[in-house]
Amino acid sequence: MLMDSKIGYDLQLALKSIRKTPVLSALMVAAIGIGIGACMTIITIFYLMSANPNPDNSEQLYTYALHNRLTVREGQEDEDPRLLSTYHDALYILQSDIPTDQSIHYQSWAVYRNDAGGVSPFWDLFRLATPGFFSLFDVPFLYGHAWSQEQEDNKAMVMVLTREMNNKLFGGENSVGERIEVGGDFYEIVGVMDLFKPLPKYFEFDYGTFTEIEGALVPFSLTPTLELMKNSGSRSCAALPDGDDFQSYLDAECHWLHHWVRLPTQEKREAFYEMLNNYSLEQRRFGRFQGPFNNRLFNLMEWLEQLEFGGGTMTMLIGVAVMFLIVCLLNTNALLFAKFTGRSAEVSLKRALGCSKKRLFKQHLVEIGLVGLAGGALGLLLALVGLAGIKLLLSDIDNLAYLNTDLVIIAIAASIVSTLIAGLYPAWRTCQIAPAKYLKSQ
Amino acid sequence: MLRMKGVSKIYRTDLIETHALRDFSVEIGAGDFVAVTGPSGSGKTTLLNIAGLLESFDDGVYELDGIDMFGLNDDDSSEIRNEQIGFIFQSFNLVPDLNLFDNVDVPLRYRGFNAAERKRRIEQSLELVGLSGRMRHLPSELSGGQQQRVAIARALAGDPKLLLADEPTGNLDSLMARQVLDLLDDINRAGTTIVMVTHDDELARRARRNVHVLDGKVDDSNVYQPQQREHPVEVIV
Repeated sequence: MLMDSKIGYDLQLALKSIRKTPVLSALMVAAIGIGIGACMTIITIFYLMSANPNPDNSEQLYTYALHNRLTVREGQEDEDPRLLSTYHDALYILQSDIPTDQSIHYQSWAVYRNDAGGVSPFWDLFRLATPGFFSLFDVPFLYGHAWSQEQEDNKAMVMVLTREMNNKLFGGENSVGERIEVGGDFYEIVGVMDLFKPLPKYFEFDYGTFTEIEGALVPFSLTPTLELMKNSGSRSCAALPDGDDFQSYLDAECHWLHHWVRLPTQEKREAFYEMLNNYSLEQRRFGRFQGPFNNRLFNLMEWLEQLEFGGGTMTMLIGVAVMFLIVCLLNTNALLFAKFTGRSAEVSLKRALGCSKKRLFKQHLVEIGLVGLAGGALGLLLALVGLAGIKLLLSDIDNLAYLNTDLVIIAIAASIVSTLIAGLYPAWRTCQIAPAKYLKSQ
Repeated sequence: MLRMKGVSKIYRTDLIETHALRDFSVEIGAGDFVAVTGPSGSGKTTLLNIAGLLESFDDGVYELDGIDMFGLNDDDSSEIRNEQIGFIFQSFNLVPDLNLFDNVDVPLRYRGFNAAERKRRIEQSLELVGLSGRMRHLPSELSGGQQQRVAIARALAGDPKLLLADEPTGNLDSLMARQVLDLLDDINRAGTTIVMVTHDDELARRARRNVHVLDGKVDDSNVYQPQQREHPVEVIV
């Protein structure tokens, strides 16, 4: 039935034509495939980096940058504030009742042991967070629940495992109530997360934003007890600690904590921002902060923009990839010209037999579209190879290096559309051949 | 059926103008079989191309079945070519990678017939030219005469009113040429108007009348001279 239709006939003719000039067709498919493959490799990374990782709440989730300079050098009055908080500032702001939810958190690592479960000890990461973390970021639970505020306040030795860590330590069984040893201390498991894989991992930015969440979370309040601090990544200090004890380190002007809040209304956002300014003013009165205020409040997407995800280098890379695709399409354009020129006699004959220019143009577009489709398929394969290469080079980006359905559709559509654009002029030129021109010479 | 009055055609380049037809007038009635003769470069093929709407003309009147053909757009001229005119070329002009069935199918596809109707017409026209048993063969598997018969089948499948043949036997040996001419005779007897360009006098004598073209004009001494048929019509199948 399809083959009896106009489009079916055009497809038949297009397939015959492609088979008739296999080398030329292969060259065109290769040119488009390489261009699309390069573009899709870059665009895939960009697309996933730029995606909204929490679309339901991205307008409510905020983080701040407090202009907490201890000294202001000449000419640097307008310098951007630091994106991380000090322990002292974060704990103060945590007391605010303006946000409906909030959490401060940081990453650490230790040795995990579950000797009873027959698992060999291993190093892995964990995160210390106030319990608002789970509600703030909509963490789903497979078993149990988050620890309570009371447990937080009481510095309870409790823990929430990720699904993956629970699989590793307990074979996926419900481990709530079990105890495991992490960093030499025993924790009771109160909950196991379900799949939680925000990409990018927006609540973190200096440990690989595209890595998976750490294997476990424990109460932030354990920080002084366990004498844990952020042990790698960004921890800029404006002044040395006053003493050698751990509390001196906590009190030092070091920026190392992430602090996120939920501000569901404009009133709350304004009130929170005013509170930050008042806090800065108060600290200035105490002689701590210097210079003009430049406090900043970012919602989720503004935060990602601030981190220049998808910006700067990525934009340049996309530009280069698109330019490369254009070069490939120019080659395709030349190949199509060569191919269509070779069929002038056939075109002339079809025109003589009653095929209008419009119909002939459509026939050519179907053939060009088929070449674009094949180029898109090849481009997808090459993009997979490119992404695999990026995975090998950049382990941080491992979770991003995959093609989802949207990207597959985009690749195929982009390939067909760009090939059609490249083929419009050769097809149009071919259809302008006068019907009588080649009938005598065939 | 076909009327041209004062038709002119000039080919222009940056340097020269060539008058292919000058004030050309001719009338051809329905069912006629006209041979267009004349020396090379006299304008025979231009005449045929204009008659078949393969080329436009610069001046004059050309009516086909009473309809003015001047200034038709591409869609309209394509439709008329497809539905009312059949072409036979010296070099057959078959599509080499399509079998006989599909070659004859080409103009029918543009006509919009359904599959059953196309199949009926293809089989009937190939039957008429004696090639119904070779429908799945490629043109390269046929002799020159057989290829021209396929071209005739293709021209006839759409049931045209006017059949235009440009040196239809020019690439054939004498036996095959005679077979093709016999076939054209038969088609003409069935009512199809045929205009055939040739510069072979013997072939021209097979037509009912001759139009002699010289320097882009009708050579009056040869126009409307009824010709005596030399050979009885035979159908070679």
